[in-house]
Amino acid sequence: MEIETLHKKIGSWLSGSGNESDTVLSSRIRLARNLDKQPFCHLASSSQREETYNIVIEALRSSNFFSKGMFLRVDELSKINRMLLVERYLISLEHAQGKISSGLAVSEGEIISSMVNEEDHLRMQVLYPCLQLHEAFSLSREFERVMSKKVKFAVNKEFGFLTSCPTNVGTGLRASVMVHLPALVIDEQIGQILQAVNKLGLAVRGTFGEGTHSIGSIFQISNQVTLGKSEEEIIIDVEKMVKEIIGYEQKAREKILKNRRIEIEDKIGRAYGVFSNAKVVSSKETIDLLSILKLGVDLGLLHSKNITNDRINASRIQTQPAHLQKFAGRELTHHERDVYRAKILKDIFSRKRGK
Amino acid sequence: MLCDACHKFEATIHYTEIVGGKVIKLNLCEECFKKKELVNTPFNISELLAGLTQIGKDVSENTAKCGNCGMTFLDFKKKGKLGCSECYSVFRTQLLPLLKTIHKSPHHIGFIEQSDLYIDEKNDKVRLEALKKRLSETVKSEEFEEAALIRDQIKELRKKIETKDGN
Ligand SMILES: [Zn+2]
Ligand SMILES: [Zn+2]
Repeated sequence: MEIETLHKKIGSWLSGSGNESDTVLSSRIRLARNLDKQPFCHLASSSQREETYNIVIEALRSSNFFSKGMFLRVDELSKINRMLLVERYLISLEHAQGKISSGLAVSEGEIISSMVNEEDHLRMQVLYPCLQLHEAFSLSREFERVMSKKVKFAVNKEFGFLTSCPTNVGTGLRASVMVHLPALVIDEQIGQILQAVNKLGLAVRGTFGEGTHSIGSIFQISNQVTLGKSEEEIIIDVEKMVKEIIGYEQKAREKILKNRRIEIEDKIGRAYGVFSNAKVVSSKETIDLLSILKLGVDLGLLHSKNITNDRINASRIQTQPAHLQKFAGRELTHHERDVYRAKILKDIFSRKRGK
Repeated sequence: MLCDACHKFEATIHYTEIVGGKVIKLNLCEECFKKKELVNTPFNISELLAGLTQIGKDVSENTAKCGNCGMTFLDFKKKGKLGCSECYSVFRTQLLPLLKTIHKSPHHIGFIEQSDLYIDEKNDKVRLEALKKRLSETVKSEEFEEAALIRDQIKELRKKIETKDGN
Protein backbone atom coordinates (compact mmCIF):
# COMPACT_ATOMS: atom_id res chain seq x y z
CA MET A 1 0.00 0.00 0.00
CA GLU A 2 1.38 3.41 -0.89
CA ILE A 3 0.19 6.96 -1.17
CA GLU A 4 1.05 7.43 -4.84
CA THR A 5 -1.43 4.80 -5.98
CA LEU A 6 -4.01 5.29 -3.23
CA HIS A 7 -6.38 7.34 -5.41
CA LYS A 8 -6.95 4.41 -7.77
CA LYS A 9 -8.55 2.24 -5.12
CA ILE A 10 -11.45 2.77 -2.76
CA GLY A 11 -11.55 1.99 0.94
CA SER A 12 -13.38 -1.25 1.67
CA TRP A 13 -15.78 0.66 3.96
CA LEU A 14 -17.28 2.09 0.76
CA SER A 15 -18.46 -1.29 -0.50
CA GLY A 16 -22.06 -0.17 0.02
CA SER A 17 -23.18 -3.50 1.40
CA GLY A 18 -24.46 -4.04 4.92
CA ASN A 19 -27.39 -3.21 7.17
CA GLU A 20 -29.62 -0.36 6.00
CA SER A 21 -27.45 0.15 2.93
CA ASP A 22 -30.22 2.12 1.21
CA THR A 23 -30.07 4.92 3.77
CA VAL A 24 -26.85 4.54 5.76
CA LEU A 25 -23.51 5.14 4.06
CA SER A 26 -21.03 4.47 6.83
CA SER A 27 -20.41 4.04 10.55
CA ARG A 28 -17.40 5.49 12.24
CA ILE A 29 -15.88 5.11 15.69
CA ARG A 30 -13.15 7.41 16.85
CA LEU A 31 -11.26 7.09 20.13
CA ALA A 32 -9.10 9.92 21.41
CA ARG A 33 -6.11 8.97 23.56
CA ASN A 34 -3.08 10.72 24.98
CA LEU A 35 0.17 9.65 26.55
CA ASP A 36 0.38 9.97 30.30
CA LYS A 37 2.10 13.18 31.47
CA GLN A 38 3.36 14.06 27.97
CA PRO A 39 2.29 17.65 27.09
CA PHE A 40 -0.75 17.71 24.77
CA CYS A 41 -0.03 18.50 21.13
CA HIS A 42 -0.91 22.21 21.15
CA LEU A 43 1.49 22.85 24.04
CA ALA A 44 4.31 20.47 23.13
CA SER A 45 7.62 21.79 21.78
CA SER A 46 8.94 20.46 18.46
CA SER A 47 11.17 17.96 20.20
CA GLN A 48 8.34 16.83 22.47
CA ARG A 49 6.09 16.41 19.43
CA GLU A 50 8.75 14.31 17.75
CA GLU A 51 9.12 12.24 20.91
CA THR A 52 5.36 11.62 21.01
CA TYR A 53 5.45 10.75 17.32
CA ASN A 54 8.17 8.15 17.82
CA ILE A 55 6.50 6.53 20.82
CA VAL A 56 3.07 6.31 19.20
CA ILE A 57 4.27 5.22 15.75
CA GLU A 58 6.46 2.51 17.29
CA ALA A 59 3.45 1.18 19.22
CA LEU A 60 1.27 1.29 16.10
CA ARG A 61 3.92 -0.52 14.08
CA SER A 62 4.20 -3.35 16.55
CA SER A 63 0.41 -3.67 16.87
CA ASN A 64 0.13 -5.74 13.66
CA PHE A 65 -3.02 -3.89 12.61
CA PHE A 66 -1.06 -2.07 9.92
CA SER A 67 1.23 -4.86 8.72
CA LYS A 68 -0.14 -4.58 5.19
CA GLY A 69 -1.05 -0.94 5.48
CA MET A 70 1.13 2.14 5.53
CA PHE A 71 2.67 4.73 7.79
CA LEU A 72 2.93 8.31 6.63
CA ARG A 73 4.66 11.38 7.94
CA VAL A 74 1.94 13.87 7.14
CA ASP A 75 4.34 16.78 7.67
CA GLU A 76 6.44 15.54 4.75
CA LEU A 77 3.60 14.98 2.27
CA SER A 78 2.76 17.30 -0.59
CA LYS A 79 -0.32 19.46 -0.22
CA ILE A 80 -2.20 17.37 -2.78
CA ASN A 81 -1.43 14.14 -0.97
CA ARG A 82 -2.61 15.65 2.30
CA MET A 83 -5.87 16.73 0.67
CA LEU A 84 -6.19 13.26 -0.82
CA LEU A 85 -6.21 11.84 2.70
CA VAL A 86 -8.86 14.35 3.78
CA GLU A 87 -11.04 13.38 0.83
CA ARG A 88 -10.77 9.74 1.92
CA TYR A 89 -11.79 10.56 5.52
CA LEU A 90 -8.41 9.43 6.82
CA ILE A 91 -7.32 12.75 8.29
CA SER A 92 -9.05 15.94 9.39
CA LEU A 93 -8.58 19.29 7.71
CA GLU A 94 -6.71 20.38 10.80
CA HIS A 95 -4.28 17.48 10.42
CA ALA A 96 -3.87 18.34 6.73
CA GLN A 97 -2.09 21.53 7.74
CA GLY A 98 0.90 19.21 8.10
CA LYS A 99 2.21 20.54 11.42
CA ILE A 100 5.58 19.19 12.52
CA SER A 101 5.70 15.49 13.51
CA SER A 102 2.15 14.76 12.41
CA GLY A 103 1.57 11.21 11.31
CA LEU A 104 -0.90 8.69 10.03
CA ALA A 105 -1.22 4.92 10.04
CA VAL A 106 -3.71 3.25 7.68
CA SER A 107 -4.63 -0.40 7.43
CA GLU A 108 -5.06 -2.07 4.08
CA GLY A 109 -8.63 -1.41 3.02
CA GLU A 110 -8.66 1.74 5.17
CA ILE A 111 -10.90 0.21 7.85
CA ILE A 112 -8.55 1.20 10.66
CA SER A 113 -6.53 4.39 10.77
CA SER A 114 -4.78 6.52 13.35
CA MET A 115 -3.80 10.15 13.34
CA VAL A 116 -0.74 10.93 15.41
CA ASN A 117 -0.27 14.40 16.92
CA GLU A 118 -3.56 15.87 15.79
CA GLU A 119 -5.54 17.49 18.62
CA ASP A 120 -4.70 14.46 20.76
CA HIS A 121 -1.58 12.31 20.62
CA LEU A 122 -3.53 9.44 19.12
CA ARG A 123 -6.86 9.35 17.37
CA MET A 124 -7.92 5.85 16.45
CA GLN A 125 -10.57 5.48 13.79
CA VAL A 126 -12.56 2.51 12.55
CA LEU A 127 -14.74 2.95 9.48
CA TYR A 128 -17.31 0.38 8.45
CA PRO A 129 -19.81 0.36 5.61
CA CYS A 130 -23.50 0.98 6.33
CA LEU A 131 -24.97 0.67 9.81
CA GLN A 132 -22.41 -1.27 11.83
CA LEU A 133 -21.62 0.86 14.87
CA HIS A 134 -21.37 -2.09 17.26
CA GLU A 135 -19.05 -3.97 14.95
CA ALA A 136 -16.90 -0.90 14.43
CA PHE A 137 -16.76 -0.39 18.18
CA SER A 138 -15.70 -3.99 18.85
CA LEU A 139 -12.81 -3.62 16.48
CA SER A 140 -11.79 -0.27 17.95
CA ARG A 141 -11.87 -1.80 21.44
CA GLU A 142 -9.60 -4.58 20.26
CA PHE A 143 -7.24 -2.05 18.73
CA GLU A 144 -7.35 0.06 21.87
CA ARG A 145 -6.63 -2.94 24.07
CA VAL A 146 -3.53 -3.82 22.08
CA MET A 147 -2.31 -0.23 22.12
CA SER A 148 -2.89 0.19 25.83
CA LYS A 149 -0.44 -2.62 26.49
CA LYS A 150 2.25 -0.82 24.54
CA VAL A 151 1.93 2.75 25.82
CA LYS A 152 0.66 4.27 29.03
CA PHE A 153 -2.44 6.27 28.23
CA ALA A 154 -3.50 9.31 30.22
CA VAL A 155 -6.39 8.11 32.31
CA ASN A 156 -7.84 8.62 35.76
CA LYS A 157 -10.65 6.90 37.55
CA GLU A 158 -12.82 9.99 37.96
CA PHE A 159 -12.61 11.50 34.47
CA GLY A 160 -11.68 8.45 32.39
CA PHE A 161 -9.43 9.07 29.39
CA LEU A 162 -7.94 12.54 29.47
CA THR A 163 -8.03 14.62 26.31
CA SER A 164 -6.64 17.94 25.29
CA CYS A 165 -10.12 19.42 24.93
CA PRO A 166 -12.57 18.73 27.79
CA THR A 167 -15.33 18.10 25.24
CA ASN A 168 -13.78 14.68 24.49
CA VAL A 169 -12.82 13.54 27.99
CA GLY A 170 -14.16 10.31 29.52
CA THR A 171 -14.70 7.71 26.87
CA GLY A 172 -12.93 9.79 24.22
CA LEU A 173 -15.49 8.22 21.94
CA ARG A 174 -17.14 9.79 18.93
CA ALA A 175 -19.60 7.52 17.15
CA SER A 176 -20.87 8.94 13.90
CA VAL A 177 -23.11 7.65 11.18
CA MET A 178 -23.46 9.10 7.72
CA VAL A 179 -26.98 8.89 6.38
CA HIS A 180 -28.50 9.61 2.99
CA LEU A 181 -31.93 11.26 3.24
CA PRO A 182 -32.95 12.41 -0.24
CA ALA A 183 -36.68 11.87 0.16
CA LEU A 184 -36.85 13.97 3.32
CA VAL A 185 -35.03 16.70 1.43
CA ILE A 186 -37.22 16.47 -1.68
CA ASP A 187 -40.34 16.44 0.47
CA GLU A 188 -38.96 19.41 2.47
CA GLN A 189 -39.46 17.68 5.80
CA ILE A 190 -35.81 17.48 6.70
CA GLY A 191 -35.42 20.59 8.85
CA GLN A 192 -38.42 19.79 10.95
CA ILE A 193 -37.51 16.11 11.41
CA LEU A 194 -33.95 16.76 12.41
CA GLN A 195 -35.03 19.32 14.98
CA ALA A 196 -37.69 17.03 16.37
CA VAL A 197 -35.33 14.14 16.91
CA ASN A 198 -32.55 16.25 18.32
CA LYS A 199 -32.12 15.11 21.89
CA LEU A 200 -29.95 12.79 24.00
CA GLY A 201 -26.86 14.95 23.62
CA LEU A 202 -26.51 14.15 19.94
CA ALA A 203 -25.69 16.35 17.00
CA VAL A 204 -26.83 16.33 13.40
CA ARG A 205 -24.76 18.02 10.78
CA GLY A 206 -25.44 18.43 7.14
CA THR A 207 -26.05 20.72 4.31
CA PHE A 208 -29.57 21.48 3.38
CA GLY A 209 -31.75 24.44 2.69
CA GLU A 210 -34.75 25.42 0.67
CA GLY A 211 -35.92 22.78 -1.78
CA THR A 212 -33.21 22.01 -4.25
CA HIS A 213 -30.41 23.78 -2.41
CA SER A 214 -29.20 20.79 -0.52
CA ILE A 215 -25.97 19.11 -1.48
CA GLY A 216 -26.03 15.39 -1.65
CA SER A 217 -28.67 14.99 1.07
CA ILE A 218 -25.97 13.53 3.30
CA PHE A 219 -26.08 14.08 7.04
CA GLN A 220 -23.88 13.06 9.89
CA ILE A 221 -25.33 12.00 13.22
CA SER A 222 -22.96 11.78 16.16
CA ASN A 223 -22.73 11.97 19.92
CA GLN A 224 -21.58 15.14 21.68
CA VAL A 225 -21.44 13.80 25.22
CA THR A 226 -18.41 11.66 26.01
CA LEU A 227 -18.46 11.71 29.81
CA GLY A 228 -21.04 10.29 32.23
CA LYS A 229 -22.28 7.73 29.71
CA SER A 230 -20.82 4.33 28.95
CA GLU A 231 -19.53 3.51 25.49
CA GLU A 232 -22.39 1.12 24.99
CA GLU A 233 -24.98 3.76 25.96
CA ILE A 234 -23.45 6.30 23.59
CA ILE A 235 -23.55 3.88 20.69
CA ILE A 236 -27.08 2.74 21.42
CA ASP A 237 -28.31 6.34 21.59
CA VAL A 238 -26.73 7.23 18.27
CA GLU A 239 -28.07 4.08 16.68
CA LYS A 240 -31.55 4.71 18.04
CA MET A 241 -31.62 8.17 16.56
CA VAL A 242 -30.31 6.92 13.21
CA LYS A 243 -33.06 4.31 13.08
CA GLU A 244 -35.70 6.86 13.96
CA ILE A 245 -34.54 9.19 11.21
CA ILE A 246 -34.25 6.51 8.54
CA GLY A 247 -37.75 5.39 9.50
CA TYR A 248 -39.00 8.86 8.52
CA GLU A 249 -36.94 8.69 5.34
CA GLN A 250 -38.57 5.39 4.33
CA LYS A 251 -42.02 6.90 4.85
CA ALA A 252 -41.06 9.94 2.79
CA ARG A 253 -39.83 7.63 0.02
CA GLU A 254 -43.17 5.85 -0.09
CA LYS A 255 -44.91 9.20 -0.19
CA ILE A 256 -42.89 10.66 -3.05
CA LEU A 257 -43.15 7.42 -5.00
CA LYS A 258 -46.90 7.58 -4.68
CA ASN A 259 -47.37 11.28 -5.40
CA ARG A 260 -44.43 12.38 -7.49
CA ARG A 261 -43.23 9.29 -9.33
CA ILE A 262 -42.84 10.88 -12.77
CA GLU A 263 -40.91 13.79 -11.35
CA ILE A 264 -38.54 11.45 -9.47
CA GLU A 265 -38.06 9.19 -12.49
CA ASP A 266 -37.32 12.25 -14.59
CA LYS A 267 -34.66 13.44 -12.13
CA ILE A 268 -33.04 10.00 -12.11
CA GLY A 269 -33.06 9.73 -15.90
CA ARG A 270 -31.53 13.17 -16.24
CA ALA A 271 -28.81 12.38 -13.70
CA TYR A 272 -27.98 9.25 -15.66
CA GLY A 273 -27.91 11.28 -18.83
CA VAL A 274 -25.48 13.80 -17.42
CA PHE A 275 -23.06 11.12 -16.25
CA SER A 276 -23.23 9.31 -19.58
CA ASN A 277 -22.89 12.33 -21.82
CA ALA A 278 -21.77 15.53 -20.11
CA LYS A 279 -18.33 16.94 -20.86
CA VAL A 280 -18.11 19.41 -17.98
CA VAL A 281 -19.43 18.64 -14.49
CA SER A 282 -18.94 20.70 -11.32
CA SER A 283 -18.40 19.09 -7.93
CA LYS A 284 -21.68 20.36 -6.55
CA GLU A 285 -23.61 19.00 -9.51
CA THR A 286 -21.83 15.67 -9.11
CA ILE A 287 -22.76 15.31 -5.46
CA ASP A 288 -26.38 16.25 -6.15
CA LEU A 289 -26.70 13.87 -9.08
CA LEU A 290 -24.99 11.00 -7.26
CA SER A 291 -27.58 11.41 -4.54
CA ILE A 292 -30.38 11.13 -7.10
CA LEU A 293 -28.74 8.08 -8.71
CA LYS A 294 -28.45 6.38 -5.34
CA LEU A 295 -32.11 7.06 -4.70
CA GLY A 296 -32.86 5.51 -8.10
CA VAL A 297 -30.88 2.38 -7.23
CA ASP A 298 -32.42 2.08 -3.76
CA LEU A 299 -35.98 2.58 -5.02
CA GLY A 300 -35.44 0.07 -7.79
CA LEU A 301 -36.14 2.70 -10.44
CA LEU A 302 -32.80 2.47 -12.13
CA HIS A 303 -32.12 -0.74 -13.96
CA SER A 304 -28.60 -0.35 -15.20
CA LYS A 305 -26.11 -3.01 -14.16
CA ASN A 306 -23.43 -0.37 -14.27
CA ILE A 307 -24.98 1.85 -11.61
CA THR A 308 -24.39 0.28 -8.21
CA ASN A 309 -23.96 1.66 -4.73
CA ASP A 310 -20.25 0.86 -4.60
CA ARG A 311 -19.68 2.76 -7.85
CA ILE A 312 -21.71 5.68 -6.60
CA ASN A 313 -19.55 5.72 -3.46
CA ALA A 314 -16.39 5.49 -5.56
CA SER A 315 -17.56 8.45 -7.65
CA ARG A 316 -18.23 10.53 -4.57
CA ILE A 317 -14.64 10.00 -3.39
CA GLN A 318 -12.74 9.94 -6.67
CA THR A 319 -14.21 13.06 -8.24
CA GLN A 320 -12.91 15.36 -5.52
CA PRO A 321 -10.16 17.84 -6.47
CA ALA A 322 -7.10 16.05 -5.04
CA HIS A 323 -8.21 12.72 -6.49
CA LEU A 324 -8.76 14.23 -9.93
CA GLN A 325 -5.33 15.81 -9.86
CA LYS A 326 -3.73 12.51 -8.84
CA PHE A 327 -5.45 10.80 -11.76
CA ALA A 328 -4.31 13.55 -14.11
CA GLY A 329 -0.81 13.47 -12.68
CA ARG A 330 -0.64 17.25 -12.52
CA GLU A 331 -2.32 20.32 -11.09
CA LEU A 332 -5.60 21.20 -12.77
CA THR A 333 -7.37 24.52 -13.05
CA HIS A 334 -10.96 24.79 -11.92
CA HIS A 335 -12.28 24.32 -15.43
CA GLU A 336 -9.89 21.47 -16.23
CA ARG A 337 -11.11 19.69 -13.11
CA ASP A 338 -14.72 19.92 -14.25
CA VAL A 339 -13.73 18.43 -17.60
CA TYR A 340 -11.66 15.70 -15.99
CA ARG A 341 -14.47 14.93 -13.56
CA ALA A 342 -16.88 14.28 -16.40
CA LYS A 343 -14.39 11.86 -17.91
CA ILE A 344 -13.79 9.98 -14.63
CA LEU A 345 -17.53 9.68 -14.00
CA LYS A 346 -18.06 8.27 -17.44
CA ASP A 347 -15.24 5.80 -16.83
CA ILE A 348 -16.56 4.62 -13.50
CA PHE A 349 -20.09 4.07 -14.74
CA SER A 350 -19.18 2.40 -18.01
CA ARG A 351 -16.63 -0.03 -16.52
CA LYS A 352 -17.43 -3.68 -17.05
CA ARG A 353 -18.59 -5.45 -13.92
CA GLY A 354 -16.00 -7.10 -11.78
CA LYS A 355 -13.40 -4.46 -12.57
CA MET B 1 -27.19 35.67 -1.79
CA LEU B 2 -23.72 36.46 -0.51
CA CYS B 3 -21.73 34.24 1.83
CA ASP B 4 -22.42 34.92 5.52
CA ALA B 5 -18.77 34.51 6.42
CA CYS B 6 -16.79 36.43 3.81
CA HIS B 7 -19.56 38.55 2.19
CA LYS B 8 -17.57 38.25 -1.02
CA PHE B 9 -18.70 35.17 -2.91
CA GLU B 10 -22.06 33.74 -3.81
CA ALA B 11 -23.37 31.43 -1.09
CA THR B 12 -23.95 28.05 -2.69
CA ILE B 13 -24.12 25.95 0.46
CA HIS B 14 -26.86 26.30 2.97
CA TYR B 15 -25.43 24.77 6.06
CA THR B 16 -27.49 23.79 9.05
CA GLU B 17 -26.20 22.44 12.28
CA ILE B 18 -28.33 21.36 15.18
CA VAL B 19 -26.43 20.91 18.40
CA GLY B 20 -28.11 20.57 21.76
CA GLY B 21 -31.40 21.91 20.43
CA LYS B 22 -29.77 25.02 18.99
CA VAL B 23 -30.19 25.51 15.26
CA ILE B 24 -27.44 27.32 13.42
CA LYS B 25 -28.13 28.26 9.80
CA LEU B 26 -25.41 29.60 7.60
CA ASN B 27 -25.24 30.46 3.93
CA LEU B 28 -21.70 29.88 2.84
CA CYS B 29 -19.54 29.87 -0.24
CA GLU B 30 -17.59 26.68 -0.95
CA GLU B 31 -14.34 28.01 0.47
CA CYS B 32 -15.86 29.17 3.74
CA PHE B 33 -17.79 25.93 4.08
CA LYS B 34 -14.50 24.03 3.97
CA LYS B 35 -13.05 26.32 6.62
CA LYS B 36 -16.14 25.82 8.75
CA GLU B 37 -15.11 22.22 9.24
CA LEU B 38 -11.90 23.46 10.80
CA VAL B 39 -13.70 25.13 13.66
CA ASN B 40 -16.42 22.59 14.00
CA THR B 41 -16.34 22.29 17.77
CA PRO B 42 -19.83 22.29 19.22
CA PHE B 43 -18.82 24.19 22.32
CA ASN B 44 -16.84 27.32 22.66
CA ILE B 45 -15.01 26.63 25.92
CA SER B 46 -14.02 30.23 26.53
CA GLU B 47 -17.61 31.41 26.10
CA LEU B 48 -18.91 28.64 28.35
CA LEU B 49 -16.40 29.50 31.04
CA ALA B 50 -17.38 33.15 30.89
CA GLY B 51 -20.96 32.08 31.58
CA LEU B 52 -19.99 29.93 34.54
CA THR B 53 -19.32 32.81 36.89
CA GLN B 54 -18.54 30.64 39.87
CA ILE B 55 -15.35 29.47 38.17
CA GLY B 56 -12.24 31.52 38.72
CA LYS B 57 -13.80 34.02 41.13
CA ASP B 58 -10.76 33.79 43.32
CA VAL B 59 -7.51 35.04 41.91
CA SER B 60 -5.87 31.92 43.31
CA GLU B 61 -8.06 29.73 41.10
CA ASN B 62 -6.89 31.51 37.97
CA THR B 63 -3.24 31.49 38.87
CA ALA B 64 -3.20 27.81 39.85
CA LYS B 65 -0.45 26.20 37.81
CA CYS B 66 0.17 22.65 36.66
CA GLY B 67 3.58 21.49 37.90
CA ASN B 68 3.98 19.04 35.04
CA CYS B 69 3.35 21.27 31.99
CA GLY B 70 3.36 24.78 33.42
CA MET B 71 -0.10 25.74 32.24
CA THR B 72 -2.21 28.04 34.44
CA PHE B 73 -5.98 27.93 34.69
CA LEU B 74 -6.07 31.35 33.06
CA ASP B 75 -4.21 29.86 30.06
CA PHE B 76 -6.88 27.19 29.85
CA LYS B 77 -9.64 29.78 29.92
CA LYS B 78 -8.04 31.52 26.96
CA LYS B 79 -7.17 28.43 24.92
CA GLY B 80 -10.00 26.06 25.82
CA LYS B 81 -7.47 23.23 25.89
CA LEU B 82 -5.64 21.69 28.80
CA GLY B 83 -1.88 21.23 28.84
CA CYS B 84 -1.38 17.64 29.95
CA SER B 85 -3.01 14.76 31.80
CA GLU B 86 -1.92 16.19 35.17
CA CYS B 87 -3.92 19.39 34.53
CA TYR B 88 -7.11 17.41 35.17
CA SER B 89 -6.02 16.78 38.77
CA VAL B 90 -4.58 20.24 39.35
CA PHE B 91 -7.66 22.09 38.04
CA ARG B 92 -10.17 19.51 39.22
CA THR B 93 -12.39 21.87 41.25
CA GLN B 94 -12.56 24.46 38.50
CA LEU B 95 -13.24 21.83 35.84
CA LEU B 96 -16.11 20.06 37.60
CA PRO B 97 -18.84 22.66 36.86
CA LEU B 98 -17.63 22.95 33.27
CA LEU B 99 -17.71 19.19 32.69
CA LYS B 100 -21.16 19.08 34.24
CA THR B 101 -22.37 21.62 31.67
CA ILE B 102 -20.85 19.94 28.64
CA HIS B 103 -21.49 16.31 29.54
CA LYS B 104 -24.12 14.11 31.11
CA SER B 105 -22.28 14.03 34.41
CA PRO B 106 -18.73 14.88 35.44
CA HIS B 107 -17.90 11.26 36.23
CA HIS B 108 -16.59 8.61 33.90
CA ILE B 109 -18.60 5.40 33.80
CA GLY B 110 -17.17 3.80 30.68
CA PHE B 111 -14.33 1.32 30.63
CA ILE B 112 -10.80 2.01 31.72
CA GLU B 113 -8.43 -0.23 29.84
CA GLN B 114 -4.85 -0.20 31.15
CA SER B 115 -4.94 -3.99 30.71
CA ASP B 116 -5.46 -5.39 34.22
CA LEU B 117 -7.95 -2.76 35.38
CA TYR B 118 -10.59 -4.04 33.03
CA ILE B 119 -11.06 -7.60 32.03
CA ASP B 120 -14.25 -9.47 32.63
CA GLU B 121 -16.12 -12.22 30.93
CA LYS B 122 -18.39 -10.00 28.89
CA ASN B 123 -15.47 -8.16 27.40
CA ASP B 124 -13.79 -11.41 26.51
CA LYS B 125 -16.82 -12.31 24.47
CA VAL B 126 -16.85 -8.92 22.74
CA ARG B 127 -13.19 -9.43 22.00
CA LEU B 128 -13.79 -12.88 20.63
CA GLU B 129 -16.36 -11.56 18.16
CA ALA B 130 -13.98 -8.83 17.04
CA LEU B 131 -11.19 -11.33 16.58
CA LYS B 132 -13.36 -13.67 14.56
CA LYS B 133 -14.35 -10.83 12.31
CA ARG B 134 -10.77 -9.77 11.85
CA LEU B 135 -9.76 -13.33 11.12
CA SER B 136 -12.16 -13.59 8.22
CA GLU B 137 -10.98 -10.20 6.96
CA THR B 138 -7.34 -11.22 7.05
CA VAL B 139 -8.09 -14.51 5.32
CA LYS B 140 -10.02 -12.66 2.65
CA SER B 141 -7.15 -10.27 2.04
CA GLU B 142 -4.67 -13.16 2.19
CA GLU B 143 -2.74 -11.84 5.19
CA PHE B 144 -1.97 -15.35 6.32
CA GLU B 145 0.74 -14.56 8.86
CA GLU B 146 -1.59 -12.12 10.58
CA ALA B 147 -4.41 -14.66 10.39
CA ALA B 148 -2.32 -17.29 12.14
CA LEU B 149 -1.60 -14.87 14.98
CA ILE B 150 -5.27 -14.05 15.35
CA ARG B 151 -6.21 -17.74 15.29
CA ASP B 152 -3.87 -18.33 18.24
CA GLN B 153 -5.44 -15.44 20.14
CA ILE B 154 -8.91 -16.84 19.49
CA LYS B 155 -7.86 -20.27 20.78
CA GLU B 156 -6.43 -18.75 23.92
CA LEU B 157 -9.49 -16.62 24.53
CA ARG B 158 -11.88 -19.52 23.98
CA LYS B 159 -9.99 -21.56 26.56
CA LYS B 160 -10.21 -18.68 29.01
CA ILE B 161 -13.95 -18.21 28.50
CA GLU B 162 -14.57 -21.96 28.84
CA THR B 163 -12.67 -22.23 32.12
CA LYS B 164 -14.62 -19.24 33.43
CA ASP B 165 -17.95 -20.71 32.35
CA GLY B 166 -16.91 -24.03 33.88
CA ASN B 167 -16.37 -22.45 37.26
ZN1 LIG C 1 -17.35 32.86 1.90
ZN1 LIG D 1 -0.55 20.11 32.87
